[in-house]
Amino acid sequence: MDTILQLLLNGLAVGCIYGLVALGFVLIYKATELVNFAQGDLLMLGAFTCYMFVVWYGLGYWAAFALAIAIVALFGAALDATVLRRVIGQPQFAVVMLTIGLGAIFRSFASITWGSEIYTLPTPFSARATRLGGVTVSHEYVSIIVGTVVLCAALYAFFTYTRVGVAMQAASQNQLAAYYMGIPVKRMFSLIWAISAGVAAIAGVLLAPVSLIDINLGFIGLKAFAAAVLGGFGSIPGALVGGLTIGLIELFAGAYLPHGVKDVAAYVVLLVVLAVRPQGIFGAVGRKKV
Amino acid sequence: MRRVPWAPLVVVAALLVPAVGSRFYTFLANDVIIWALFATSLNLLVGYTGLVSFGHAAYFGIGAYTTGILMKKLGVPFLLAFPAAGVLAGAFALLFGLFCVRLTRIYFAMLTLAFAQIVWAICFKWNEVTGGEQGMPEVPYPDLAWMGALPLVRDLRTSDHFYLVTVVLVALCLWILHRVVRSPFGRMLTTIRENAERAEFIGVHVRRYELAAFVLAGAFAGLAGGLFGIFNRGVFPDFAYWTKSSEVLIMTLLGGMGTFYGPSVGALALILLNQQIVSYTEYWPFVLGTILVVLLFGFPGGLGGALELLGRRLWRPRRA
Repeated sequence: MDTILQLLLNGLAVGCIYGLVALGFVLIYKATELVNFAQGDLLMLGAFTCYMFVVWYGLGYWAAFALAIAIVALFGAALDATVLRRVIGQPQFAVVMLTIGLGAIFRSFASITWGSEIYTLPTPFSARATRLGGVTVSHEYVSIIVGTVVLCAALYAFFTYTRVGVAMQAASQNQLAAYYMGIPVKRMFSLIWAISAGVAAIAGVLLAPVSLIDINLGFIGLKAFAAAVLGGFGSIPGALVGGLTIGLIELFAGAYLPHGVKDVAAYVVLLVVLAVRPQGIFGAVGRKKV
Repeated sequence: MRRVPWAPLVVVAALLVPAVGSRFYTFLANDVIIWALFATSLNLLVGYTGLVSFGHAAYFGIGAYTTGILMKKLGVPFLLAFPAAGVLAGAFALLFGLFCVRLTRIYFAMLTLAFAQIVWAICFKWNEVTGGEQGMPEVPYPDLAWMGALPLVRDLRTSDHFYLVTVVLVALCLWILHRVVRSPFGRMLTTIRENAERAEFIGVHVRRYELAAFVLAGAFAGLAGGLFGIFNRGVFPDFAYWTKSSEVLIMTLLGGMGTFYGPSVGALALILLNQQIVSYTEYWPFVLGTILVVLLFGFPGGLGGALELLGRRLWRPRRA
């Protein structure tokens, strides 16, 4: 029983990271219909930026965290304004390759700037744990879960109750109509990129103490992408549910199933779900007009 | 003006490489030619049918393992082991394709990736058959002793003999693929790419056509894999890994999806560039990423498209 609870906790934490990265995918896709394969690499940049401020410049963890989010978010907005806005409307395949190219550039940039070694980020939660019954609750994992819950609540409030948030929803649903209503659609898109990149940075900093930081940290994006598709690409709750599902399944598969199943568990689940529900768990069927 | 018979010229030029070039150039040319077949098989899906597969390496890997296991462990001659790669890869493509073609766009891409990752994991873990993580080194060259009896090529090395066989086989495969895309079947695939719903309205069984294209593409990728395993002197699990899938996608894009020979040009360009740049800097991904970004803004049609445009510019004044 204790083992199951332990796995549940760790699985939820890993799932939260997948969910956050998937959330980034979905936000951008909903708004601009671009699939951003560099999302995982933005996560990596976030983790490295935070590491740089903490270890190189000796800043406090929280200040470094905030700075990392701000810098990566700004970077996301700049990316949209300079590169990605120009490819809206091009074939999806081309855009995917573009973002894969950008991801490769970010990884090289990271290895030039920070080196290609493996780093650990010291945090206030590092190596501390509380025992609850038979379960060891590591503070790092709790920080991930709490961080995700707080972030999701904040995003929900932002999109529902603020003027800008509602305007962003409008721009996502129908660009032309939103434009006619006087919403600056371009600025909204840049803002969505900023939020998306910021969420990725948060995920990166939260993930850093659990996993180590290296330039290939962003490959987690591949699993997160599976999570987004599992939930139904384009659905925000779907992204989170998909992420948690994959996180939990991976941990339980690693503990109870033969060695090696863990690595493919995510894809097997994806396969089964898509075979039964081709549009994902929460996805809506959209038909293009002829 | 008569059309220049480019294709036979290229084949002849390729056949001459071992005679005029060094061992290194033959090695490079062999690499390029196998990748050209792999990329062209992918283009049947991406360029002609409009289905973006992120897991095309799965069939490449299956083909490589098929030929490798048959030749190394069971001693089957190349003449049987090579077609077996295509047949088995095609069979797996049929099985996976049945699921994949039910989906569209990003879901299709994701499912192909999922299948490929599963294939990779099986190759990685199934020690008894695939050699697991260590792969399967020392796949033997096919028995090409008969080439020693031929004039002209008698004095060449075994690797050169294998290279010549590769050129002929790949040329044959490309010729078949070319026939396929020019056939009514191929035209129908293009129709589906342009507008799948309209194709359905005029009575085309879209899924069946997509499945057929998927199987064909998988089978030819398998053949490419079979050749590559021998060329590489070993088969390793990363043949089926997603990085291989993205590499071949990049070649296709670099060369241009709009033309039949585009992906082959892409394979040539990418392999030569890689060879050149890796000797200067370790930041090859940086260069590759920059190339991709520039390409998308500058030459959306890829190198093949750019060459075609150049050709048209050059020829037009003479015709007028």
